[in-house]
Amino acid sequence: MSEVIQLEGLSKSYDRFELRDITVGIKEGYITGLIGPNGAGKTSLIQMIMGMVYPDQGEIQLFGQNHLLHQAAIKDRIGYVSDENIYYERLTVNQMKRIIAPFYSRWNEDIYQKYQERFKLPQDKKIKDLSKGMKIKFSLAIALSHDADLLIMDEPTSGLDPIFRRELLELLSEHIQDEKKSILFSTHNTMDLDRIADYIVFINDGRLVFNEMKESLTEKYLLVKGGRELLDRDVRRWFIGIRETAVGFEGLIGNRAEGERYFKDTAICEIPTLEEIMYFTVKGSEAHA
Amino acid sequence: MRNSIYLIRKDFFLVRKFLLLLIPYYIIIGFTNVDAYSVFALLPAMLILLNACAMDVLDNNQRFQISLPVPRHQLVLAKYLSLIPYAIISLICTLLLYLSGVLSGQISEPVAWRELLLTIATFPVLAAFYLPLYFWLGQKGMQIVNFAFIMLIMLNITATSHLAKRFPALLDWIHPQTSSHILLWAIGGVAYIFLLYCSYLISLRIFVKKDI
Repeated sequence: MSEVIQLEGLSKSYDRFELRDITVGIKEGYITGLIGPNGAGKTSLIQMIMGMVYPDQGEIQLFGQNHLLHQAAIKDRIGYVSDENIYYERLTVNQMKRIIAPFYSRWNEDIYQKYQERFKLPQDKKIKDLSKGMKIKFSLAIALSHDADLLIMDEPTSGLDPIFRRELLELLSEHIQDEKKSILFSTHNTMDLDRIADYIVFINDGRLVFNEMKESLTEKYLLVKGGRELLDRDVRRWFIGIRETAVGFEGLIGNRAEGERYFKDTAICEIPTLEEIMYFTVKGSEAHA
Repeated sequence: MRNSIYLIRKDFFLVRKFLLLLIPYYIIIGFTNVDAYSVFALLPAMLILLNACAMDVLDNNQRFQISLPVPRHQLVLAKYLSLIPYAIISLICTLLLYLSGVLSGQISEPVAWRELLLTIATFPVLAAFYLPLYFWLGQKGMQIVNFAFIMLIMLNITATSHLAKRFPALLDWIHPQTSSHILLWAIGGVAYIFLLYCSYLISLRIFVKKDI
């Protein structure tokens, strides 16, 4: 199985934040969710992949090519949806499209028109007068109209109403039917990824926590709920993160088999959601920091 | 090259409303200073450039450019190539101003080509200093730099007329009948191209490694 994005030992220092030694591969033909809390480094990572920010160390390869040496050819195959508007606010939707279209070798005007109608994009409205959801829809229409092999989307569902949110997820599922297409989708709303993602890349505090198939996460992690009397010093060490209340605790264990063996008769054992995995991992890392 | 044309086209999309402001500008100049028409060829070109650059850094728009399938060095090159159409627009507008001066009887002299072309040629020289600053500062500090450059242009216009009064030889030199010193023109031409090329290399060095 080939990798459409390969990140090798990426590091980048900012004033108050650091991405450290990120090595990860994004599989071709799948939807990969990039998750992490706010400020974890998701946008920085995407900006590095897009060549907007340079890593201090490490190498980025897209479609098997160095992303700096083949910038134009690589970006011709990428559809990018940013978390914030990057288009010229004073131009209309139609003017902006007319600026963008000639740059792409595989631009398809019919497909753009189809999405324009589907998303009800007002052609003569200025970008600045569009709602956030409409801006995302416009970005998406552009990204889908040049037959991109890789969609890179930074928080695309934030600011969308629930109806279009679902429609977008369906759209992405349709897009991925062609096995050569891949999607990297960053979000902190894990419910979106529960629905459509095949792989999950989790970063926290600038470090890679895991890059796993979504299905394998349920085989690996276990959510345990029980009374506090079960927690002694040795047991606590098994947990990635624990939330304690006056009456009991909830905690995430990274070794499901071992957790089930120990807790199956004394506590409630559940399959954790992505949100729970993210929550307890972040909580655990804060406790150990 | 094709990408550079598309990028210049993009700049024209951005400044199209500003271009309309040139009409009242030239009408006012036509009424007030039509006899010194040639020195007013500089300001519009520089203002178009300043406007296009300002629009590019306004709302994360450099990120948009980076997201396009265009290498960074072509983004820099397109900004330098855009100086040509801006200069041509200024030249055409100034010639139209001259023509209207002739038709209204306010100008009887033939076109001062050398003076006019020297004024137009000053535009890329100013741009050679401006563009590296633009690529270096981006959105931060550009308002101050833009203000400084507009002041510089205004000073340039008044300084030219003062210099001409103080040094009549300068007027002789730019007069069309004065014989041309080929060697002087050649040295000036090489220095001019060298300056522009150095400016381009500096901009390239700044922008190609810059985090946007």
